[in-house]
Formats: sequence, structure tokens, C-alpha cells
Amino acid sequence: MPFTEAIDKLGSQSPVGAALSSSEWSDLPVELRENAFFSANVESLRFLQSAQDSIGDYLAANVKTLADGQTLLATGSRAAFVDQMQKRLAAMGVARGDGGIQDITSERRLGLIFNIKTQQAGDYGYWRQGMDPDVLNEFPAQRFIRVLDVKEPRLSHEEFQDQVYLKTDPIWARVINKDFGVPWGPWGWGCGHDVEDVDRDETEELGLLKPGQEVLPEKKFLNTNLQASINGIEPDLLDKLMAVFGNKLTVDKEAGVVRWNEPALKEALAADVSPVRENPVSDAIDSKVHGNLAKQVDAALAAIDQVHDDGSLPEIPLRSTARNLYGYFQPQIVDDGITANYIAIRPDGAWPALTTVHEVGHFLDLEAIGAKGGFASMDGDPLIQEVLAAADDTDAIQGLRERFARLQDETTKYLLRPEEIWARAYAQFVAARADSPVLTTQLAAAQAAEKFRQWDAADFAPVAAAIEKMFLQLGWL
Amino acid sequence: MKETDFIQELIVEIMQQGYDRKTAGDYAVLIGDTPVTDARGQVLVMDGRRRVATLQPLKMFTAE
Repeated sequence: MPFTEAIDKLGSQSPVGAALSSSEWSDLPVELRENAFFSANVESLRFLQSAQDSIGDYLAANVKTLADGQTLLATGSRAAFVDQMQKRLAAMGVARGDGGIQDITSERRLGLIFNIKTQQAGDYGYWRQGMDPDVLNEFPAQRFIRVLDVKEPRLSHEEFQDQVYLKTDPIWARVINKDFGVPWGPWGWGCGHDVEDVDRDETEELGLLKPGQEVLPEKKFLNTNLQASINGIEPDLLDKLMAVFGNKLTVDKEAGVVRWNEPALKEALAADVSPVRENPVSDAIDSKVHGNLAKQVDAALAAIDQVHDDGSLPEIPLRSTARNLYGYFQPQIVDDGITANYIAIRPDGAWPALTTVHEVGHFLDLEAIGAKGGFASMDGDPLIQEVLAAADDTDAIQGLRERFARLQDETTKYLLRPEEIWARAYAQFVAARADSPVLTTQLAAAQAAEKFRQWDAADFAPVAAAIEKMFLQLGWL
Repeated sequence: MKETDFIQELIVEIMQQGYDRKTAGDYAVLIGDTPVTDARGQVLVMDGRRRVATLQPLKMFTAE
């Protein structure tokens, strides 16, 4: 069952990007931190929004429906979150780093984000439930207990271990949780402590309350729209905050408070041009390759994700092949027609990234365009027929037709197959539209390698327009 | 190696299954770089949704 308070907590936070370290973020007033969804040294609002959405899906146990009608959790686990974020980052053109904690693409860093955000939201939820007046007076205190052994226990927590304090005691936020400054967990970076409820009888026995004494909830953090007192901020820090965040912060001198400027935060998010796809093609490709080919595939998928969405594709593996062709798309026959099986790419082909896009073009032709069970390009699907008709009028295709009329050779005949014209056109469309130096270079190489294989830019323009029209009709742009 | 050289190699491999040059050429064009297989790994020569022939597994389409 979804944990409403935890979900609400996450929803009360706005993505705030800044090149601030963990230490610099911790200098901010807790009221500002609690209303912000941030991660150290992350400036991309789109990434933060994606991470927040994904964690929200996890907390709410949201489901997504696949093309075949099956449903599954949108973000079912920490591993799923890491996988989704790595694909998002790749789609945004963020290259893999050294795998360390500073590397935003690393499993370690993304896993830490997931752990901290879910624990913060969950522990806030428990704290908030504990502030319900009836619950609070039934269980007015809590005990600080160790639940996980850690490599380096912090000495400052040892003295509080197994100690009991009222839930409303400021010691929780001010002394015990110095890292985050809030009266709920996590109780610090790498901390293995948690709290357990202590009932009224024991609380009174410990002398923390007089018999029958009422406890009033701590109201400060119950308000999800927090603002910090200017008096609590050093002038130098306030100047620094204004320099970093500009109009995203509102300083209300009359009221003596500083708070996030929600309209400015929303405007900044909308202005972030990094595209985020609801159903990116990269989600459907389970890459099984390594080394340089993995980089080529990542670049190809990132470029595709830049250019368009795909509706919803089944997930297939992408493998390596050592055979004498640059790549292929392997479909399989099943009871109700043809379905996708896998893609294979040759690592030492002349243009592996372009080949990857080309084979993805076949994948889309089969699974995402037109009726299920066959290739739209061969089924006479009206949408893709407009693209093929536009291609047919180009100098490149006319050149191939003339060549075939003269040579009657299988290679040219193959290049004139509708599914093959589509895949080459799709690859050129992505290469031309994406901001991808790898694809730009490889497209140029393919254009130079064989006449009429690809189109020159002017010749291709009507084909690109037709693909764009089709993608708009499919809702992919 | 040119990208489209594989078509000629595919024709040779199909001919090794006993087909003549013309038939193997027609099949290679239809198979292209989208080889449809069945559950036994046999390659189905398809023209759209129509099955034209069934070939034994082809080495050309082997992934790692």
C-alpha cells in the first residue's frame, strides 16, 4: 500500500539544480533544503525531475502498461531506478565516468540517491504519522537504536544509542541529526541508526512526562511550504545563495524570511532543453555488449532518445556479432506473426553507431509502426508509405533504380527493399537531427563509402519532412 | 569489407544448402539484415507476411 505521507513529502519538493557540494548544500537553512529535490553538484533540472518522478513511482508503487497489455511496476526496485537513470543520463548525452561516488552515472552514486531519497521520504512519513495528536500521546517518545552495523560508527551517535527522548525534543534535529537537521532519519550519512516508539507508560517511568501530561506536535515541519528566517542566515551566506540561485530564491525582508520562488523554479525547469522521453527507445534495448561497442551503442541510443519517443516497445537484447555483416535485426515467427528477438552489431564495422540506429529502424518498423505481427514498410502501412514515397522521388533511390536496371544485381535489389530504404532513411534522420558527433562522422563515412547508399542533405530533406510528419502523427515528437 | 558484401556471402551460404544461384540470390535479398527465425533456429524466407521457404540455420546470423 502506498505510503501517502512519504509520497506527499517527495511531492512537496521542487527540483533545484546547483553546482554545490554536499557540504555547501548542508550550509543552506534546513527549511530550504527540505523543500528542494537536489543532489550534490547536479545542475540538470531535467535529471532531477526524472529522478524525483522515478522515486515517486517507486514510493507510490505506480504501474505501467506494456504494448502487449501486461502491467508491471514503473520503478520496482533500487536496481530499476539506477537502470532508468543511467538511460536518462545517456539520453541527455552524459558520458559514463569513473564509476566513483562523484560520477552521476555510477551505480554507486545513483544507488545512494535512491537510498537517501526513499529513506528520507519514508522516515518523514513515519515521523509525520507520529505527530498525529492521538499517536503522539500514546507513543510520545522514541529510542535511538542501531539497526545496521557500519564500517565506521560515528562517535557522536554512540552516546545517544539506546537513549530515549520525546519525539518533540529539539535534540533529534539539532544534535543527533546534524547532517540533515531534521527530526527524522536517515540520521546522518552512512548512519546505521533508526528509532523505535516508546509508549506513554515507559516515557512517564523515565520521567520524560508527568502522568497525563499532554504532548503537542512539533508544527514546524508539518508545514510542507517552508521558509527560513533571514535572522538565522549569515549575511555572507545569504549573498552567496542569491548569487547561486538568483531569482529562484525570494527574500522577503518585510516578513524576514527567505523561501524558494516556485514560479521561477517551474520556469527554469521548463526552460531546461534536455529532452526526457516518456518511452525512450533506449528503455527497450538491453545492451549486452562491452568496450568500444558499448560506447557506440550508448551514443546511438542517446541520439535516438534526443530525437524521438517510441510509444512503447518490447525489450530486446543487443548483442555483438563477429560475422561478415555490420549488423542485423533478428525477428522470430510466433503464432500471431513476427516479433522482435534481438539486434546484433559487429564491433569492427565501419560505422557501428549508425548501424545500431539502422537496426533500431527495423525494430521500430516491426514493433512500433503499423499493425502488429509484420513490418509496416512491407504491410503497406499508410504512414510509412508516405516516407517511402518521398524517398522514391529522391536522386539516391532513382540512382539505385537505374543501377539495378543496368546490373540486375542482388545487392542493389536488396538496397531497394522498402524495409531497407526505411532503415537507412531512419538512420540518416536520427544522425541529422541529433547532436551527436559520432553519428555525424559515421553518416559522412557511409555517404562517402557507396554512392546512393545514403542521401545528400538536400536530396534527403523531403524524406526527413515525411518522417517528421509520421513521428508527429505517432506522437513521438 | 564493404557493408553490402554480406549479400554475396549469404548467397554462397544458401547455395551450400542445395539451392541454385538464382534462388539463393532471391532468398538473400528477401532475408537481408532482418533474418526471421523460428523456434528451431531455422531461417524463414519471408516476403512480407508470406513464408517463401524455410532454410537451415545460417552461420551469417550468429550473435555472441
